[in-house]
This record gives sequence, structure tokens and C-alpha cells, in this order.
Amino acid sequence: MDLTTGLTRLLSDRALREEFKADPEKVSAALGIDEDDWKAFRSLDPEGLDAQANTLLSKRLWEVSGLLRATMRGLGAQARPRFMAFAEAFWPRDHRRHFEDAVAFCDYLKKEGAGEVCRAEENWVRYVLEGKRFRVHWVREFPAYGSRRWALQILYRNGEGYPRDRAFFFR
Amino acid sequence: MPDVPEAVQGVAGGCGGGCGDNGMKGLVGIGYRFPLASWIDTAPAEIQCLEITAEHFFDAGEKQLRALRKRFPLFIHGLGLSLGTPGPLDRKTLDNFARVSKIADPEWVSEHVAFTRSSDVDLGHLNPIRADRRNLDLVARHTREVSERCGKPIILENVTSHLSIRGEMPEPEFLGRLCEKADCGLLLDVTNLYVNSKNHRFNPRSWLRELDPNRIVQLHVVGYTVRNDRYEDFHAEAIQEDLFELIDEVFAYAPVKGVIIERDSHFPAPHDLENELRNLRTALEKHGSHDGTHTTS
Repeated sequence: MDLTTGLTRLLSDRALREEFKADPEKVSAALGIDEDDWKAFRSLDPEGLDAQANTLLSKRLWEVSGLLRATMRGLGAQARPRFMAFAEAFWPRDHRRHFEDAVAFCDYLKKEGAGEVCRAEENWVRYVLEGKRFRVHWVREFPAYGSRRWALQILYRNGEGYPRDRAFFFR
Repeated sequence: MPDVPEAVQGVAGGCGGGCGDNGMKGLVGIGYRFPLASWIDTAPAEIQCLEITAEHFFDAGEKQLRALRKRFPLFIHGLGLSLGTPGPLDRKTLDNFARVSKIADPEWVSEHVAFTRSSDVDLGHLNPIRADRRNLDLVARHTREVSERCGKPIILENVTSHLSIRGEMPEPEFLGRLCEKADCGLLLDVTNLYVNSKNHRFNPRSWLRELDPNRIVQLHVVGYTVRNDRYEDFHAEAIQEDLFELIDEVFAYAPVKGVIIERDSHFPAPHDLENELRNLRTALEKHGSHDGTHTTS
């Protein structure tokens, strides 16, 4: 295994980084790191690895927080730890990675009973990812104007193909 | 010093078609982001060029891209080609990137000296590669492939990293040899340089002077973020004074042809961005970087 691939493994796996911290040679051997890269791999700084890995997760959290604002607000102080726990086990694969992350995080929260998902936000991120032309949802608590109201949420694509979101509110 | 590489000589003299002739060759502009679209549509005088993130137009926006091209010189910037990943480039990503490039007809395209994924995991963001001969060959090969596929000059960007990897050569030497091998230019991200210099405690000015100034085609600039005593490139703040001093030194050192404010979030009011653009333009003009007769301090 080359150093870049080995580094990807370390950056995506906290448990592996802990093993590496304790015994870098053992992890190098277990991964089968190429002989040419052996020295450089073994000398990777564990603190630097953790810092880089945390930055990767933080950047994902930053993006998802922009897509799921009300959901994250609802989670409060638990938003970051919940997302970090989710993000270490799930890595999106597409250029729409932030939407992939947002959808998967919604699924995670519901499955774990770890917090309430804002339905309107979930509808939006799923719609963008699914690539459908048109969707209509009744949403009981659409966040708008500082409160949550009944709304008809309409999701569609404009002439350019960009997803758009409109809501009609009811008292 | 070596001559300006052939691959970027075409961009000397600046903006190509559609930009109008304002006598300036070093262009100052901003990364195109959808929250800024309404403001950009008013074509403020301060915006002389736009940088388009290729991935933002993979799924939609062809008409919009063509319209932008008529009004501004464009640069196409990639995030996900992962030039540092061993093996072939991802076909689908390259196809999409080339398609966007064809529509936008940019002055040049750019990517990073980094990797974002391996065959089994996509980390989603940029990570450092080891500065060694094997990666020189790999990234140079991938760089040429992207340039040939797009039919455009390509420039490569330095990245931030909290991780130092023991390499065969220092980073500036690696970048220099890479540019030579790939016949390409450099996109110097001054913020990334500054962030790395703080986290890894080195002198950014000494680092800068190890680079061939004629290879530096474009700059990225944006304010840094400090969190938990670490410097970060979250692209969310205005350019700080100490960072601006470094930018000014780069203008004195290298005849840059494009400067892009790379703001991704926490967007300020348009007049604040206009001020930032104006300040950059003033600094650029002060050193005469726009016509290649730059002053070196």
C-alpha cells in the first residue's frame, strides 16, 4: 500500500489512528505499506494526523450546518458531538457530498433517536440529491420568521436545472 | 530565472475575449458563489474576473455559465480531481470538469497539489501529499492530462495541512520541480501559505522566495480563522492586516495575472467586498505587477 492510501485510512479511522499512536510499526506492517514509504509513514506525527482528521470533519460539519440550520439549532450543544460520531462512520462519495452528508445525518439522527430532524430541511436535501423534477410536501413545522408553521413546501427545478424551494404558509 | 512557462504564456496579457480593455493585465476578482450572484450580476467595477468552482456546475447552470463568460474573464477551479491519488484520474469527475471548462472557455484551469480520496474512501477535502519523486511524476502526469483534456493552461495550488510529511525535498522545491515537469504555473494561495507558516512555524517570506516568481500566475486570498490556537482556512473572514502585508509582498515579488478573493461563507455586505477588492487592486497597481515590470523589494 502506498503512503497516500495509508494516509487516507488513518485520516478516516480514529481507532486506527489510536493504534498507530501506540505502535506505528505494527500498523505499517498490518496495512502493508510499501517499503519506499515505510519510513515516512512511520514518522507521521499522531497529533498532526488528529488535527488534520478533525479539520476534515469540521469542514463537513460546517457545510452540513448550513444545510440543516434548524436541525442543528434544535440539537444545541449536542450538534457537534452527534455529527462527529456520525461522520467518522460515513464518508460520502459524490461531488454533491455535502447533500449526501446531510441526508445521511438525518437518517442517523432518526435511527439513533438522537435528535429531531427539521422535516422541511430534510425534504430539501433529499430532493437535491434525488434529482427529481418536482415534489410537494405538507410540513407541520416549517421554520420561518422565527417560528414554526404549517406550510405547503414545493420543490422544483428552474430553467437552468437548479433546485428551488417555495413554501406557502397557513395560520 | 527561467522564462514564463509556455503553457501559461497564453494568459500573459490577461483577459482574453469579452472583458473589455481597461489597460490592466493583472485582474482582481472573486470566487463565484450563489449567495453573491445578485451582487455579481450588477457587474460592480471592482470585479474584473471570476473564478468558477467546476463542481458547482456539474449538474446545472450551463446557460448561466455562458452568460458569465460574456461579461467576465473566467478561471475554472477544481476541487475533486485529486491529482495526488495514485492510479488513473476519476473518469466521471474529469469528464464533468472538461465539460464545464468547455462551456466556460476560461483563461486557465486550476487544481490542487493534494489528494482528496483513495480507491476506497473519499475524504471530501484536500490533504497533503509527500514531496517525493514518485509524486512528482504522478501529479505531473495527471496535471498534463487535465490540461490536454481541457485544452487550457493549468495552474496548481498549494494547500493547508496540519500534518507535515517527511519528504525528499522542501515544499517550494517540490512545487517548482512540479511546475517544470508539468509545464504549468502556480496558483499561490497566500492564505494557505500564511496558515501553514503559523501552524508549522516557518517564515512565509523565505518560503515565498524559494519559488520562481515567473511561475506564480494567480493568487487566492481570504481571511484566516483562528480556533483552539490553530490557524484554519475556513474562507469565512475578511483579509486581516498581517495577511495583507504578505499579499503585498507577493505582489512585489511576482507578476501575478489574477487575484481571487476565495470567500465561501459568512458573506459581508457587498460594499465590504468591494473595499477588499479595491485594496487589492491598489496594492497590485503599486507594484506594477499587472504589466510584468514588477518591483522587487
